[in-house]
Amino acid sequence: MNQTARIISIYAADTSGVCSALYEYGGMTVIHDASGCNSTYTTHDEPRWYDKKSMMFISGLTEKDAVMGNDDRLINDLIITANELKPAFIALCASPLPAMIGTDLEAIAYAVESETGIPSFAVKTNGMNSYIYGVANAFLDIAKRFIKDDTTDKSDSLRVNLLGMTPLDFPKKESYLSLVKFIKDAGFESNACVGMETSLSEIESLANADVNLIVSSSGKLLADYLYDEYNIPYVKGVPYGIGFAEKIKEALVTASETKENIDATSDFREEGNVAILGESVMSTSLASALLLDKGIKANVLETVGDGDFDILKSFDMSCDDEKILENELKKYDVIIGDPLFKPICADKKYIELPHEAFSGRCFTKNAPNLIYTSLEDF
Amino acid sequence: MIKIAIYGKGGIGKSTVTSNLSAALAYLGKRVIQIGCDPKADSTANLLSGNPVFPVMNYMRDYDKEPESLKEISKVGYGGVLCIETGGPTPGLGCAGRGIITTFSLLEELKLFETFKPDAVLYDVLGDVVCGGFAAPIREGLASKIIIVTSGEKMALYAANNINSAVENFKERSYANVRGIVLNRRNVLNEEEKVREFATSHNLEIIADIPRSDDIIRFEDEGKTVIEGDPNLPVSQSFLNLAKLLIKEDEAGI
Repeated sequence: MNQTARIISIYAADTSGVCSALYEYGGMTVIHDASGCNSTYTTHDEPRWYDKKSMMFISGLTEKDAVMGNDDRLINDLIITANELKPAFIALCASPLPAMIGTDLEAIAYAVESETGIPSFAVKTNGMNSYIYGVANAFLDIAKRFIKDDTTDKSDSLRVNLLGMTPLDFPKKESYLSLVKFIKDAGFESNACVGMETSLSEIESLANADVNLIVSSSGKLLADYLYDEYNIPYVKGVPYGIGFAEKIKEALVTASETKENIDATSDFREEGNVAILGESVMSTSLASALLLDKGIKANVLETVGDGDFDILKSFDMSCDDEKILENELKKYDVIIGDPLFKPICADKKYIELPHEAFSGRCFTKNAPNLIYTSLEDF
Repeated sequence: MIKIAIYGKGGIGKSTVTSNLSAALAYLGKRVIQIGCDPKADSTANLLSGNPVFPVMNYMRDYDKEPESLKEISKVGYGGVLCIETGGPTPGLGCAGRGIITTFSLLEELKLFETFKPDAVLYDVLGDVVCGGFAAPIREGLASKIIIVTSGEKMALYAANNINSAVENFKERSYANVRGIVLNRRNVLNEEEKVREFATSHNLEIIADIPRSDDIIRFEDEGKTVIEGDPNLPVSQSFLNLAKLLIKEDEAGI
């Protein structure tokens, strides 16, 4: 049976992605759903849930509402709640049921905004796409609503946006701090971080940057928008290790000067007998870092089945099917991946690299921070 | 861009009106797309000389995958009109409304409008606005105006009233508005008075009056619209006048 996961886990869904992306911006995010989507998100996918308040809701869709097309109840609930909580914006997204019956969340958002005056929008989801799809679209939609034209004077230092940061890919605050340190040590200025340790004012100021750094596939859609609308180029790559971080630093300078987009991993990949499992931008970045810092050659098996495929080399592959993946892994001596892939890796040498979007909070405390740091102990 | 959704009671002549209007717009030099939103998939038949296009949903059912290009699910008909049919599920099974939504999502993914760059898009929608799927063509970004086709028959006017009421319910959603009524005559007693009374009571305009004509049936038997068959016929002139009105309004930004 294709596209089934009998042994391994599955990645977080697009609705979790939307909530994760919008968590820190002071808005009210509502999953149109009977129940379940929100508890999956809060229980498994959101490490900030117990430390940071955010307005994440489900609509409580009933069978009767669905069959009768009773959208008015959702509209009224949204208006009452928004008037009480005064969110900065209202974001709606669909679980499988409203997606199947074709509930027009864009029209509902329009009606709610007309009544409350609060910016409202619907993020395209169906509860069945990957978290990358949800995060990417949420980032794009919020940016389109709140971005302001660059009004600042030119800065002496290079201003960098970090795009694609959510706890689903970077669950620990240390990752963010390391990225900020990398930017600072390089002599650059952190203009905005989209997704984590952030606020709506950073979305407003996105156009002030000279260059974008895409640290996961979730940032690519917004990066394309910023390139098309504001001519801000991007660099793809996570500054893992020391050598690759240096290459990213150089790429950021080159991109800002040439206005050309750069895949920082492109020149630092060689086919090998080590497999890295996971999201494409982070996994290829790790492969480049291992090559530069330790001379280890690694192939990437992109396991989300979504995201930036352009970054993959011919010896990499995208594989979200458990059976095919299990067979493919037999070719490798060493495997690096989330612990929940381990059961299909036979007796191969396995190096655990927890990924929140795949195993939730189960192994977060064991997740190493590899950004802008020595890979000696990894 | 002219963006029209055409509604009306089943069997009232929506497909005839739509395909003749498409042909009339094309005859006047416009680049037109017609999308049939009916599981029967016969909206564009008279634009294609009896060589039907493969409907989108049928493609997905037969091949168990989504089409990868517009070429697989569209065909160019009379006057360069690009013809697309949503098709639908196996009769008695599935969900036709969902099929329309799926088709529209797919056409968006395939960048239909960006690729074809039409001057006019016409959606020929099955019967009443029976569920969310059949309201999909009048959502934001798709049709901006609705034309209701009716005759003077009681059930046709009843359906027209239902459609108008459904659109009224959407007034807070930035959906399309009813532009007016096309009277497709069946030669029933006091037909014009009945339709005019309905139009006046609902504050609607009769924007075209299509005479009962054997020419329509004659050319349909040949797989043609009357515009293709003979644009000088009085019935053809009715469609051309409607097309001219819509073009004029579009150019004036109305």
